[in-house]
Amino acid sequence: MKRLRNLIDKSYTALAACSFFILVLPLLHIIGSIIINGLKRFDLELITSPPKSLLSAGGGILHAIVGTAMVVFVAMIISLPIGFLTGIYLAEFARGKLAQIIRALITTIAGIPSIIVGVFAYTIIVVVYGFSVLAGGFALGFISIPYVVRSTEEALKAVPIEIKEAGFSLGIPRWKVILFIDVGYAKSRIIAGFLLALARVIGETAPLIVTILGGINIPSGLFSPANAIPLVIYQYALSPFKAWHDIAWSAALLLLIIALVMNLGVRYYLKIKAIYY
Amino acid sequence: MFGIKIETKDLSVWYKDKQILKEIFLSIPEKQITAIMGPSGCGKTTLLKALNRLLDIHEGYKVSGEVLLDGNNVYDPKVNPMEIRARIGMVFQKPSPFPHLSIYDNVVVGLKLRGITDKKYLDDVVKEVLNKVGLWDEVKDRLESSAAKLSGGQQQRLCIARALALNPEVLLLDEPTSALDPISAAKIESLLLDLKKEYTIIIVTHNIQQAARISDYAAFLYMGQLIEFGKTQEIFTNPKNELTEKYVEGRM
Repeated sequence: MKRLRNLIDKSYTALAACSFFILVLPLLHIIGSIIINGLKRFDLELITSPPKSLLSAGGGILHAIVGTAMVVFVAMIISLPIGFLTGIYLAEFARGKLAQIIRALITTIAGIPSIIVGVFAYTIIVVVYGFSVLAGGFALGFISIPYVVRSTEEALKAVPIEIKEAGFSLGIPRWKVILFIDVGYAKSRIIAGFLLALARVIGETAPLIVTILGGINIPSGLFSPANAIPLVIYQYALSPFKAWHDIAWSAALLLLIIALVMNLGVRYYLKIKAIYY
Repeated sequence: MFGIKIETKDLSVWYKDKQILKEIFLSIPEKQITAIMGPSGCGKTTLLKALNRLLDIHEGYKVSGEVLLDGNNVYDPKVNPMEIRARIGMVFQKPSPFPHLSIYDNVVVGLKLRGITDKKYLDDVVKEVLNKVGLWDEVKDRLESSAAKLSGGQQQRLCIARALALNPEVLLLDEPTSALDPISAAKIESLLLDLKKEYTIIIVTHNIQQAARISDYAAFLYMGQLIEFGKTQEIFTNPKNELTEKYVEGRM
């Protein structure tokens, strides 16, 4: 009997280990290929110069880096205030039916395929202002709102009741308790949520195809067309040129590093904060 | 006999359908320490939070009857609960300094968020109340560091200082020493004996010995009812009710 039990126990462990490897192997494969292929053109020129003419070697993706920065910046300007305030509303005020409806709505937004958000941005912004940073930023902002809402709401709900009560017991009005005590207490988790929302949209490609067009110029303003790092990867990978394939790999590596730095940065930041709380 | 600072008249509290406090009539004497004793779940904390209208911030509570502060009903619709809470300070079971604020800001956060910004005045308040709670010498060189770095006992004294900064008339304490080591607890007890010269103090406690040591008056609460109230000495040496006797002798 005992041997049978041991055998079952061991086979479960083996099964779990197997599933883990099945999960991890493709991931390692992806990361490995990106690093190996990406290192070929991972040089200073990649991030400091715009693209060169079609067939010549060299050139970089400065236009796309600037484009991504601008689009993401616009996205955050749109989604941070809306998401933050909605998160506060859901955590502190919303009760009953209305809250349920809003939560369902947010979940629905989170579930909309990003290309549809892109088309939506096309119909209301591109049609009026043309392909632009604004249109791309609007699409990415819209996509990131649910993440900001949820992380803000979760962070505020994690504030211990003693802290809230202590705030109220000092005769502080409710809105100030929320803004200076609750939000203050949850500050690092809220900021971490912002950064993760940003990391989430920085790699979005589909909505950008229909909103920022993706040329070779460095965008000059809110209303000019732009390119973005994930969009460059998409365009160059589909091209017939070897030099462009290499740049696409390197751009992928750059994107991977950005995402990694942001995610690890958030973890590290929260860890430091956790010591004090 | 002392003047009456807080009086409850026919005070009942429901949480949803459950009645937690049943027709409480209680007169809290001014500048004395009144202990509220009773087994877990008897409504002690709810009674405390009914006094400064802290129950208002939670959903599902219903209060009936009156709580008179200097003769005026704090549940009068014309009364602003924030003013009541500023006049009746509160300290909680678990030390709850705001960890994201400095020691200095923990003390003055109530004043600042109530609109007082005069730096000189705030500096004076910090020094005065930290002195009062015996924390000034321990923290005067690190007022800007995080309050979360203090020890549990220091944190609890900081919370008392935070409540005192608003210059309240009454201080409510909800088992303030139950999460502390004996030495820190003793410090808090002697601090309360000092503070009663200036403040009316109401302390909820599980600890019968603590009630006997520091309180002048004691109330015994059992299943939401006020069983007995009187001078602490009377309650402990000559209780009128059998339940009270059982409780103070530790037989409950």
